[in-house]
Amino acid sequence: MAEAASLRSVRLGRYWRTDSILHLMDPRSKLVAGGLITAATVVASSPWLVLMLFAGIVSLYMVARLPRAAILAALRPVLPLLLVLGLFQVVLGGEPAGLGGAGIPLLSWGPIHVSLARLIGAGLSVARLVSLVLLAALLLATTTISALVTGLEMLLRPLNRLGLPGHQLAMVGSIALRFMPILAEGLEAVQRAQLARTLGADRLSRWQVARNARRTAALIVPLFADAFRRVDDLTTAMLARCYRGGRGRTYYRHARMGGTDWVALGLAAAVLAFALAF
Amino acid sequence: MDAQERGIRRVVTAGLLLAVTLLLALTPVGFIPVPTPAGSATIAHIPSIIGGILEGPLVGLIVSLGFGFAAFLSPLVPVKDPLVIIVPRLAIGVVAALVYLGLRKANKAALLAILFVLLAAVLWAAKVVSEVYLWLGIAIAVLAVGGVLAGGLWLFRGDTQVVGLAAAGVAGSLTNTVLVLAAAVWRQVAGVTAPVAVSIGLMQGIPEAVISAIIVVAVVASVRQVGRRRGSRL
Repeated sequence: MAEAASLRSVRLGRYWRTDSILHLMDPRSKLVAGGLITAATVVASSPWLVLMLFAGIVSLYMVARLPRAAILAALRPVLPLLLVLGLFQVVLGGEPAGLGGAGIPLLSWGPIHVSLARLIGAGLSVARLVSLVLLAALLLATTTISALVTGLEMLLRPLNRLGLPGHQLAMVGSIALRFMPILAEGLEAVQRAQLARTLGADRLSRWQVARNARRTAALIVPLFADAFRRVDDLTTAMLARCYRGGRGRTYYRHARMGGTDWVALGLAAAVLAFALAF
Repeated sequence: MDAQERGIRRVVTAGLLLAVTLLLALTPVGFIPVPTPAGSATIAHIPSIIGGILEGPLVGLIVSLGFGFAAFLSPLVPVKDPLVIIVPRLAIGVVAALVYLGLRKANKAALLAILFVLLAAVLWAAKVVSEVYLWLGIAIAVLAVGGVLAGGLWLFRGDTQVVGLAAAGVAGSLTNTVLVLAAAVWRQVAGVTAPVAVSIGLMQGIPEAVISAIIVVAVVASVRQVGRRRGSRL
């Protein structure tokens, strides 16, 4: 039963309402600046730069006036994975370049040799991953889903001029986000109905692959059937309202780039340039 | 159905399949327990495959793109390199659509011929592997011959449309496994070296491909009403 109830808490970052500068920024500039900083974190090779990016991203949480709980909530699901990856790096990873004289052996036990450089390398790759997880969570914590979709659609608008379906892509995204909770509710109902008929009440071992797959299929097939029934309904509804794609459409929400947005974009571009240069 | 309705239908189908993808990628429903070190096989790529089969390569591509973004934003995936997480996954829906389109009209003789060509390819790969790890090569060869025998028997029992669906399911799933792992090796993701990738691929990719085939057939059969009996064949 606990499993059925957990469906509603979909594990995507949550929105925290405050009135910080980050919350008031245009979603477009947040998406682009976020992309630039992500790229900077991925390409950054110097240990100091990785640490500076990490500190910068954490300080953005303060700028956004998010509670400490927001950081913890973002990191809790990845913590075990990060620990495993970190350990793996310590034992098997390579040593980062440019750390003169840090190859001091700390521990040598059987085939396992741990040096200071390797420890630093593992710490850096964990810091890099934590930065990226925090950055994605920050975007979702300061931007509502509908603002994100509007921003994405506006960013994709130039594609329309090239004959590519920018509007349609954004429409796909907004339909997906609108219908995800509705489908989750339907899935939960199916799960409860099947539990009431004792399907899925007993725990199967991991070795019963075919039975596990069939049990999941018994949940997934009604989910897809529900989705395809809604496809029919929504298509009819959109046709009846004369939906004809992006041309000539007006918008309820308007986003405007302000001074803060340009400053943020400039800073993010500078960070990426710095990361590429060093 | 006129062109306008078909266009709207494509957009709406892609949107709802993407909603299913997000649901499967971000909740425990999308993870099936299997006896591998990771402990679970994901089925979040299955909507991409189904989108490709039902609405063509473009819808498959769009849902795959959304799947890549979902994985990129998901807190459960610690690797945040778009070249590893997003780009390889774009091929899932496209490959599934092409395999399905290619096999849809094929008759039993053609399918059998394809099966034997595949067997020959796998046996050759097994020979190459056996020069390095003898036991692994023999295991692959035995599995391949067994798989072809089972596949051949099934081919003469079931109807060819179901075979096309299952093949598209397997192809889409293997595309996901192989391309993502290859990209991880190429981009030197922490801890993923070529031997590690091969072992993950064998242990994770095969159960995922089998599960994907079972679920794709079940879903498309119930949506399209194909199969010997009308309705779902569960």
